[in-house]
Amino acid sequence: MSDWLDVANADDIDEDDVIQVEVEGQVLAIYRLEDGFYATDGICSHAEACLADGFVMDGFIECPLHQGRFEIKTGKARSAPATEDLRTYELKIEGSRILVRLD
Amino acid sequence: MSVEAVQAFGQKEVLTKKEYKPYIVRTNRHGLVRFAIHAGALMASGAAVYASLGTWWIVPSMACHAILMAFLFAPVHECSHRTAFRNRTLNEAVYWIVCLVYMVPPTFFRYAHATHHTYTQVRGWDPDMLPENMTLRDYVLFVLGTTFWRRNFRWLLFHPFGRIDPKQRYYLPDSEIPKVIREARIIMLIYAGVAAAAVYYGSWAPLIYWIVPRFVGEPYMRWLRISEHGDCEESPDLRRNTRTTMTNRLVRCFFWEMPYHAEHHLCPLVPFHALSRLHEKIRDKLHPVGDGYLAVNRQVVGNILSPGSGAMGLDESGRTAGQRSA
Ligand code: FES
Repeated sequence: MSDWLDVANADDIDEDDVIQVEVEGQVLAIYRLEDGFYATDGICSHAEACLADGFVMDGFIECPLHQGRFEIKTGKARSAPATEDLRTYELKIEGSRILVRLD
Repeated sequence: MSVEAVQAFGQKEVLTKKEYKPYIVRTNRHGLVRFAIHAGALMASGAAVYASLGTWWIVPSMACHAILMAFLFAPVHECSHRTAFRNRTLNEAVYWIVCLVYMVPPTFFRYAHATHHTYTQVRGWDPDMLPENMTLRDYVLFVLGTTFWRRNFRWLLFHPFGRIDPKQRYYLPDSEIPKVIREARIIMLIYAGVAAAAVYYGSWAPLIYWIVPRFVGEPYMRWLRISEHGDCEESPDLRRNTRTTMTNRLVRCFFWEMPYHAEHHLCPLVPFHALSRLHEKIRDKLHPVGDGYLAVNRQVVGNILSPGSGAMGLDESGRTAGQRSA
């Protein structure tokens, strides 16, 4: 099991928003929803758009390029043209820092 | 060439994410009102065709009906982006209806159109790219709709048998192929049912009110649509490879605001009803903006007849006369 990695400051993400972080060569999207923080792959599984350029809507991230949708908590692709799920990552908050585990 | 090198870009150059957000709000109201206007106008023009059968009035009434039917491309397109209605079930229901009438397969069109957005104006990647070094013959054939119908008939006739053009396979993830084939079969069955019913009842209605106007009207839509990217820069920069065309309210209404085409490509999450507001915000960053469809078509033809003549009417900054005077 890999280490927890410090990726961002929790205060840098508004509620119902998303930011992109790069950690160990991997691009992740970190979301803040009403009930907490979540992490998924940061690149859309359809045509490689950056999901952090998209918008959080009702618990989904809508891809900025073709409006494919993924459920943030599970990474499940819910709307074409996105069909492949995103990976989700374990995440925890320590103080004001966001830590994720990559595997 | 790498995928990143050909992917369209430009949104971040015209708008921050914070500025973008207020424009993406979807509603059911705007879509329902626009759809009701469009469907109501189609019913009225259909009634005019009925009332004028056997008289010379059939010519203008059929022209109106055909043009309104060609404008159904607009809700097809808007629903394919899922921005027509906030309610997604409603969006998909209307999408199916307008796709059936307009004669395009919903899922396949959505993927083909997504590919056009990813690789706008990148030759070899953009499926909607106009022919290279377009000749007058290419222009005429395009406007007549030959390219459009050839492509659509292939979709509608071959997909039910599982035959997807290998050159178009890259639009589709493998997992969507069964869905595309299933949909194509359903569409074929529906069309066959309409044809069988027409023959059984000896009715010409589908031909008079749907098929004939559908074919008669398409050249008008092609003529409008050539201005979206025709003679624009061949590069992934959406500020320069896509054209917004200024036009009157009537066209904007039935085209569901798609004349604001550069705005749409730059910010595809923005629903049709917010595009005019977005235009006000970013119009200075768009080159070119067309001064009406007639002017743009003239420019396109002018450039075909004398290439490099600068018939696009752009100054060094890429602005048209209309933009300079605005
Ligand atoms: S790139 Fe995300 S849906 Fe197409």
